[in-house]
Amino acid sequence: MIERSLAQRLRARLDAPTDVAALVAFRVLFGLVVAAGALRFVLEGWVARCYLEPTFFFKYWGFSWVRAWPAWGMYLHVALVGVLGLAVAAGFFYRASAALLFLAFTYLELIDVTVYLNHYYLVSLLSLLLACMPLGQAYSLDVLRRPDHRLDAFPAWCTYLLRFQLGAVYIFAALTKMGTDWLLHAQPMQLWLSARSDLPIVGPYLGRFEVALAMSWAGFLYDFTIPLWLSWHRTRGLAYAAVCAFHAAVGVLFNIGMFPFIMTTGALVFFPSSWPRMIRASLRRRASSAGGPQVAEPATPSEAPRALAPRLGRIGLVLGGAFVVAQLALPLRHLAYPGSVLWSEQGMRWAWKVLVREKNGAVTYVVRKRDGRRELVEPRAYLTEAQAREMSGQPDLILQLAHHIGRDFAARGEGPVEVRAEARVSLNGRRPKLLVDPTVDLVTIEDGLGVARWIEPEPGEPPLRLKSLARSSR
Amino acid sequence: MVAPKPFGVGFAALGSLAVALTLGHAACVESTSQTYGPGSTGAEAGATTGSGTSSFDKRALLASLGNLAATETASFADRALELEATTNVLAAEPTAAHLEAAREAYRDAMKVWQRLEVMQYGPAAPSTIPGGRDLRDAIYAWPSINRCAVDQELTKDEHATPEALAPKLLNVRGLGALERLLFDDSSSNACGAPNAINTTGAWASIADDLPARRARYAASAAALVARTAEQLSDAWAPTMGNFIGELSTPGSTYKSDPAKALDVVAYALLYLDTKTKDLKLAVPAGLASCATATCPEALELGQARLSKAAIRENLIGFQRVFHGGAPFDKEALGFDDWLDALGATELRAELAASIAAALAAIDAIEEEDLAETLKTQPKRVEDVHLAVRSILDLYKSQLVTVLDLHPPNDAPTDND
Repeated sequence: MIERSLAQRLRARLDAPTDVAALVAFRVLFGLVVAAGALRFVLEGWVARCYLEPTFFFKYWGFSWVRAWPAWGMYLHVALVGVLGLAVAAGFFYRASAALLFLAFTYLELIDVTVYLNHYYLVSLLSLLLACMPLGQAYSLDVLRRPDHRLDAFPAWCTYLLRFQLGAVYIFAALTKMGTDWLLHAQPMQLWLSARSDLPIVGPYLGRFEVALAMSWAGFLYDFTIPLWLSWHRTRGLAYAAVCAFHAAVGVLFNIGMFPFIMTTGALVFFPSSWPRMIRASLRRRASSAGGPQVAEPATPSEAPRALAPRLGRIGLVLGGAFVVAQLALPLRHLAYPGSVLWSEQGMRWAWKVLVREKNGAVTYVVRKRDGRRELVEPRAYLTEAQAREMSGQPDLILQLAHHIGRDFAARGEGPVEVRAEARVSLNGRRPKLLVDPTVDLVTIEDGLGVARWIEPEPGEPPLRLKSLARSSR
Repeated sequence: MVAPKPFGVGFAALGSLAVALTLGHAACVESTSQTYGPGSTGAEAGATTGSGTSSFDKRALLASLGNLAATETASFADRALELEATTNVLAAEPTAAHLEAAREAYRDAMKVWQRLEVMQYGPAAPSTIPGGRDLRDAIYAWPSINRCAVDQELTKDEHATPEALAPKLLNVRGLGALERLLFDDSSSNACGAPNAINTTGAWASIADDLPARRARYAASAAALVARTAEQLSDAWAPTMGNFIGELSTPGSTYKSDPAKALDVVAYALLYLDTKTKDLKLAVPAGLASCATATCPEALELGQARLSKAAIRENLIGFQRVFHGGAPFDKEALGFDDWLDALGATELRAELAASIAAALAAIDAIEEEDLAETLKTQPKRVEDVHLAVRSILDLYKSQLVTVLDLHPPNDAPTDND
């Protein structure tokens, strides 16, 4: 009886009507950021670099069927993403647009693993969530087309789900930082900051170890606590200012693209559902106090909404719950594997391990042919420079290319061959170490969810500690 | 990688001073030609170290490396002029003595050029790289060499003047074509039997005139090389194009960011990876893309018998960029000083030792040309390959991490 009561209360909480304003603002801003990102992708020439220049693409499990289109198709596809972003922003055929945005954007990600970025993954997830929400039924072109579909309130679960998603990004990003490299040795922060010691004014300080350590801790504490500060009304304003400052700093210091825009937009979901109206009201009050024309206050959610969204059904509840569970489990799956995830990369993707390691390596494949002859194969024979660089620190990608090399030799009539990899990798500035066992014929290894015994243990020594570096005085 | 805000006027003035002083320190390279020294552009030494904290001036490093490239380029321009002069004499009078003089001039020029191959930052670089003007390929387009095409050109005899040769494809001019023209004594050609020059009798018809035609063609090709070398040297020279200044006080080319300029320099050094290690060593040694035990025909400069020298000079060029000049020159500012300033002394020492080991490995080969070594002791060539790989394993993993280097034109995606 009590349990039922709790469930009912939960349902009531999830279905509670909230003002549409905040979520509409989020929809508009998110759509615009996606559209801007697509435009930027084209203008930077990344369509060609990521999808047209490579002759080999790294595949995700179960998605080997995903292929790049011909050039015109790829440009059309990215343009479509931009248009769909605008459609979501405008609320034009909203549900279909958001669903198509999810599919189109995710397809782009699935073409090649080396294109993976945490914030691309976040865009996919957010567009999926938006497609499940009735956010196009207020202040949208859809409402202009069909006024009878207009909603005056959205159910609260929409806000909760978005808050959960954004909060998960921060919390798991913080958990990833809970290691000695980050918190004790200030790496890779010191590597990145030392490289920016030429910046005016702050530059000389960036090269100092203490600064790197302080920034490492600040980043960790920021990630770990910011959802809390954003959720608490007393600290929300200050917290959002911190969000803007943090992401502005990260955007300036690191090449992190649209991530700051997505996160500063996303953080708005922690605000009360009427925040846009509050801002508008505040602006109007200022205008009137400055002698402007008197304007009536807009409707607020305290007035009884005329049309409510349908209650969350049982299927919706189950799917939403499953989504939440998956989003909690995926980032923690690395705990099932031995050693450091930053080294083995088992459990690295879809886990919000954002900017936590600097890894570079040199990989050479050793192919042994049937006649016993040995041939060295450089990854660049199959990959673009950017792909090779991404692959060099990721064992599963090294494995994929080994399989491809094996198939390629077989197709040339030189198979079957054994393919081994000599991959020397530096993690956070450490001395390079073998990443995969060079004695293992990788062709015989199938990638999977199990512990990859063919990956060498991570280096035991701490990362390099740089001298505090300042630009020479002039 | 983020562009720092432009320095204020005061910083700019002091920066110029720094560049000027650094050049005073960083000009010690082996060369008989002009060395850009004190007062060329201005600089100060870029690295000072003390306990715990050190300072390092990337712009001073860039000035040093710019000066290095400029000095080597000027040296090459001198040798290219000598090559032009000797080939002109040969064209006027194609005797064996004149041919040998031209060959000697070619060897001299090529050795310097091979050092510059790893310094393809600045105007020599491809135009796809910031600051690049494609001048390298106009001088030496290897591995885009087509011996048959050179022989085809010989049958046309259209190369009485450099102007006539200039519009032709890169693979029939430059130092690549010159190797074929100066070092091929045979009366045969490099084209297959079905090729038109053989089926039409065009080649057979020039048999008597072949040495003279080769000499005329070589003179025109050498003149073009000398012109481009001068163009390249002028582009670097502080009193002319002053690319040293552009590199060390980056303007629009590098978006005012010394880090971007250093990325270009650092990734030019990967010539040692893609060309020296993979094409000049792995393929001929039969370690890659070779259907037989060894592939001596894949050696660079096989006809000029400079395959070993080319690799050696590549390594010396790499070493000079790493040290900023000769390894024993403590004043010259290079990547080693940057590593020292960061406290990565172990990495610096290991890299320096790796480079020295690779040089020792190539010097351990007694034969003048690797074709002979591949016949008798192919393992020696494999040893050189392994030694060069050791350098690059460190370079591509730890060095680029510690110095936070990125390929030029990087960021095909964002970085999270």
